[in-house]
Amino acid sequence: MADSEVLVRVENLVKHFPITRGIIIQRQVGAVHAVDGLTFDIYKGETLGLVGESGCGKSTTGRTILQLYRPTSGSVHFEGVDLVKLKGEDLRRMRRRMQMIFQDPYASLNPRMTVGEIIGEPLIIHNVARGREVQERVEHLLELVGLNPAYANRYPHEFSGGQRQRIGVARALALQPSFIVCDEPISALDVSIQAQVVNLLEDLQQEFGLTYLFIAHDLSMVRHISNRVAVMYLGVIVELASRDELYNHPLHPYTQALLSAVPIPDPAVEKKRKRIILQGDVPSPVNPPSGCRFRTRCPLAAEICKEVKPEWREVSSGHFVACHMV
Amino acid sequence: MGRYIARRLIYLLVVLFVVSAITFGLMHAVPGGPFDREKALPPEIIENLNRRYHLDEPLLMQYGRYLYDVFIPRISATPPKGSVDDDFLITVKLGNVWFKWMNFGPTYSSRSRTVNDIFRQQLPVSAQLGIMALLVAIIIGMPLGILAALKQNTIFDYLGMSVAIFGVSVPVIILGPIMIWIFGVTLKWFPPTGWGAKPPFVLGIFPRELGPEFFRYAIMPSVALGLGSSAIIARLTRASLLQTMREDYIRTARAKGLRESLVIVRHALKNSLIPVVTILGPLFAALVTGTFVTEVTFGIPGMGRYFVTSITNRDYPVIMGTILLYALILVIANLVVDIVYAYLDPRIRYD
Amino acid sequence: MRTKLFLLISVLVLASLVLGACQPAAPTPETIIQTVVVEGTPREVVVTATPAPAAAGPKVLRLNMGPGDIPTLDPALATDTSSTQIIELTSVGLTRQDEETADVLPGMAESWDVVNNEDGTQTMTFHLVSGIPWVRWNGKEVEQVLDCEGNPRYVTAYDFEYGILRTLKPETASDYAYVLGFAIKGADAYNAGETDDPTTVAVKALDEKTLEITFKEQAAYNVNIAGMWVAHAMPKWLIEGDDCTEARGDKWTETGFFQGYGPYTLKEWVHDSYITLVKNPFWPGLPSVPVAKIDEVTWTMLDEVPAFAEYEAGNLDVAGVPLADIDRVKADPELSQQLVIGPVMCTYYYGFNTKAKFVDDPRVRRALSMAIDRQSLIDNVLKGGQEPAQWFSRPGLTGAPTPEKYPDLGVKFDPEKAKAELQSYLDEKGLTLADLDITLMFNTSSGHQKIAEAIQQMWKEYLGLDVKLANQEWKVYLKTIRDPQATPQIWRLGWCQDYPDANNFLREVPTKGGSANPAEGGGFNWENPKFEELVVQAARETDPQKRVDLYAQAEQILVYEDAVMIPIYWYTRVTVTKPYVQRTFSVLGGLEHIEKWDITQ
Repeated sequence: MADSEVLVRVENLVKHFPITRGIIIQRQVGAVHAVDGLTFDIYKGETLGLVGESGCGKSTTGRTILQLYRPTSGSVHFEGVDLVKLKGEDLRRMRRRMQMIFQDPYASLNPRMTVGEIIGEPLIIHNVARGREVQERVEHLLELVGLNPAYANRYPHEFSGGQRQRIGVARALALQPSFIVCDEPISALDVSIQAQVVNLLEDLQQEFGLTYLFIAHDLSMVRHISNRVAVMYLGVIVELASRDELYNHPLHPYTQALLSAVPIPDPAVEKKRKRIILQGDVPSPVNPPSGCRFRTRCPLAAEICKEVKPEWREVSSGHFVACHMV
Repeated sequence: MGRYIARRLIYLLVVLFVVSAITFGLMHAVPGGPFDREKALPPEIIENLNRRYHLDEPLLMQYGRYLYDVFIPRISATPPKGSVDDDFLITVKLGNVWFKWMNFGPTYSSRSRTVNDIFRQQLPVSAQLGIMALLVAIIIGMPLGILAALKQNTIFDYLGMSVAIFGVSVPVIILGPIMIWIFGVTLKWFPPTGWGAKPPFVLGIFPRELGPEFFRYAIMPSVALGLGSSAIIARLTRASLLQTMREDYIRTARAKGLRESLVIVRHALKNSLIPVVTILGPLFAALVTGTFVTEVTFGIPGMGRYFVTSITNRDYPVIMGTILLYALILVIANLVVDIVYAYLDPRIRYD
Repeated sequence: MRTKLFLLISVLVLASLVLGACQPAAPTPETIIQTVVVEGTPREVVVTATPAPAAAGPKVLRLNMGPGDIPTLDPALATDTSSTQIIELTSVGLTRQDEETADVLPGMAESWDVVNNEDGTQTMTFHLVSGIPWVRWNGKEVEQVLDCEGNPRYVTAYDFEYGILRTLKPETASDYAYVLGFAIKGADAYNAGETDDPTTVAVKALDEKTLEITFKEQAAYNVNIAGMWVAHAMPKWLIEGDDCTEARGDKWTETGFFQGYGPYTLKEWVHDSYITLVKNPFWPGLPSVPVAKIDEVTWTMLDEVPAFAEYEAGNLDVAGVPLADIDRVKADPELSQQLVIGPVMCTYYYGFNTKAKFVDDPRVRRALSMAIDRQSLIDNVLKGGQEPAQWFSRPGLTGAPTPEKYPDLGVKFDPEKAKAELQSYLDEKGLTLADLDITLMFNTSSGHQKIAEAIQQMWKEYLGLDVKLANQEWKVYLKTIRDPQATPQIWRLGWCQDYPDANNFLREVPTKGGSANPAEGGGFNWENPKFEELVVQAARETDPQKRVDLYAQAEQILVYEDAVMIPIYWYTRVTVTKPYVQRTFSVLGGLEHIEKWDITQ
């Protein structure tokens, strides 16, 4: 894996949302530290899982990588180009290559447009296809995601949740991107449908050689689909490793706590397993704790954790962790 | 959709019937009659007047007569006599008979005129002013609201919303004379008062000549009247657009690589229009049936005055006519709004 | 250097052209100095812009009628001044009042004979002017109306007979039929439907030139009533139709149908917008009604405020001055020259329900009346140059006393005397001021409210009396003050002349059965035989000075001895007129005789 070609390189990515006051003259009185210095690579053809509790900055990370939010600082190199430095037309052109599948299949499709319009729109505006060709491409895409091509004239509200997410997938695929951020694509779906959509994503990855950043809070689904997994807590990544390494040898106390909460489908193991219950609530991202972000809830916290921010280290090949206690 | 519209039209008839009954009951329940004057008339004179207008009959009979005259079409072999008692809004010659429908009766305060005359001569003027004002309201209000929403919490937002609050809080009764003074009397850009079209009107509503002369007269009152409504539209557009801009599908559109202007126009605006369209129905009905203050301020021969004077004068046929007309236009405007909904939002279906 | 100068001059010339174009066509000649740069030195060329020649074009007068449509142009149906203004210009009565002196002059009747009959009635025989044609506007010009034989129709005594009988006919439902019913023998019975035989009405055309009318009483005002608009000639063929004319019924007064015979005739009536009269070229001129000098008169139907704006913009020649602008107009050197405050034959008053508690004693009523500082009310609240009223009948009416001749008549502001009167009442009844519970009611309007509040304040200040105020919507109010039970202690009304004679005020309003004193109760709730006798006697009196004396005695009873009414102010009209309009000022409640006006440049 280490020799694989890097598709996306994220360095020191920071996204702060300012909090302002004042009516005519706006003063910044603080900031939400949603993403606070991320550094990682995504390799071509892999699926990188990104897990964490809600509010930890997973979705912000995905959107900031795709420049749907402009980062406060840091860089995102995609196919060697720093997206952060791109603007306007150049950035729009790059969007052909990177797409996103959204969490809420209900809200993320414009209710006023037909499925055909939703999927076809990017083709037209990027001058990929026109006229009759658009229609053919739309029908082909629908077929690809397992929907009846005749549905192109229908409106999103006429579909079920799973079908809508397939539409969302078709839409993301339309421009033949190389990289797709899947922002919790299945968490709004019924459990019975979730697997179908995940399988679809896997099939498409096979077929088109896609690279995924798969954002989820469901560890088991991430384990299923990912090659590598990153664990995020309060705006920072605390641990990153290959799937098996992470699930078998979690090093960070937060990762350990997360994994201990996942039920294991083996009653014998499940019985012996010790669950780690975290104390307290997630601190506010407006005022994150000093030193290690996790120290307020960490069972292993020591004095150093308060004063020194733990270093992002590679403890074994491809296994990164940020913890003083490891 | 066809069945839905048909059902709504039947419902419209019911509404008109109920409105007519309530109005008729109320106006006769209020003390004072049309012939109570500051100079009291002798009883014999009042008797003659009551007999002339059938006010000596029992109330139920008067109401029946009214409904019969207004709603029941007649076929007669002779052409209408042209008197104030025989004036039908719709008179068509079919072969050698005359089809006549909707006689709203004579007015008590203008003895040579009928309520239908007011509909023919004053309503079109009010409608022209109302439509122009509505256009002004939309042309000013929507961009202001969009600008305020897109530049939320910036100087544009505050400026735009200040203009909106100004529009709501400075009524025509103050704004009108100021405009007349500045643009009519001092600068002489526009005629201070009056209206640039007079009856008869094309298709019963349009001015015969829609030239610069018409607009010279129409601009000041339309702006004065439209400004208040533009404020409503601006605030509504802003609120609705702000809401829409937070929707997920807007992010989807951005992710597709759409230009921001296209994101706003194609995805955000159309979706944020629904609440704005909702207000346009009643606004349209209120504006086209005449606005008393604007018409008096700018000396426009519209219908607004009749809504007010008919009640103070107890001019029963005019009260009935104006209220029924207003109800009719309101219900139809709302029906149109509902139909426009279906176009704006495919999730809405009627059957 | 030269090019720069050229540029500058070009810009100036252009600017003057553009500015000139923005102005409405100026009637005065205008000289534009154009500088043309010819090879070498600049040279000035004088170009005279020729305005439309003032003398050649038609003379057009632009007036304002006030807001709202004119109710009617039908003489039989008219009740208000805007209707009668048009009617008095498009047709002429048997007699016609001089609008400045209110004297009755011959109109369509060049003379009349009066015979006092033994039964107390009076027969008047009117001799009509002949050769005055009926005319109409045919869309292009004024033309004579022709009969079925193709001969011009002239105004005859039969047309007058028809007009009077049409007004009286119950089916016509004329409001003002009662004025004729009250004066002409047999008229009220026919109008009330007691008989359907019109020949029972004592109006008879003896021939085309002679009309005989018998009046119930030998009264001075009979000749006045004969000239009223309800007794004008009316075109029977047009209203009812004949062999060659389509019947127009109620619609005969609309544009295109209308026929008349006055100094002007109707050209266009755009309802709620404006009305235009055009000079009648077939009007021969009468001593009291000369041939018109102005070719066209247009009245807009604007509220006072926009009308005044149009006046200032130069689009109206005469306008009323809104209250808010009066101080500015008075201070403006130009406008103040155009300002005229003239009398209007109306009186604003408060009436007492003389049967109601506390105000059933004349001392209380007198005290309330004398405690009103009318001049202060006019100066501080009304501001329109109104005159403080000492009695009811507006000076200027025939027979009405004038303050010049009767300076001490009636009631005046006298706080000392007012206090004494009230104290004498309180002492006699053993009451205190706090026991008096008095309510003043008026119809809902900000104007009446302001006046009532000012007067409430005066009563508090000069008498120490707290009076409550109440108001009701107009028509509800009218019912209330004519209700025997509900009539409040003090109420408000005004009265304007129908015809300019004190009889129209003193005999038709406060007498028992009069407009403000219903026979069945309500209103004043008052009857004084002495007063009733005086006003009847005055009506019959032929000596003008004796008449005024009789009315003065009646007034003294009405506003002082019995004090059933508090006269507050006499109306005035505040108008501005452009200096190029040569005009008369009517005292007839705004009824102008525009045939006497002219426009000079």
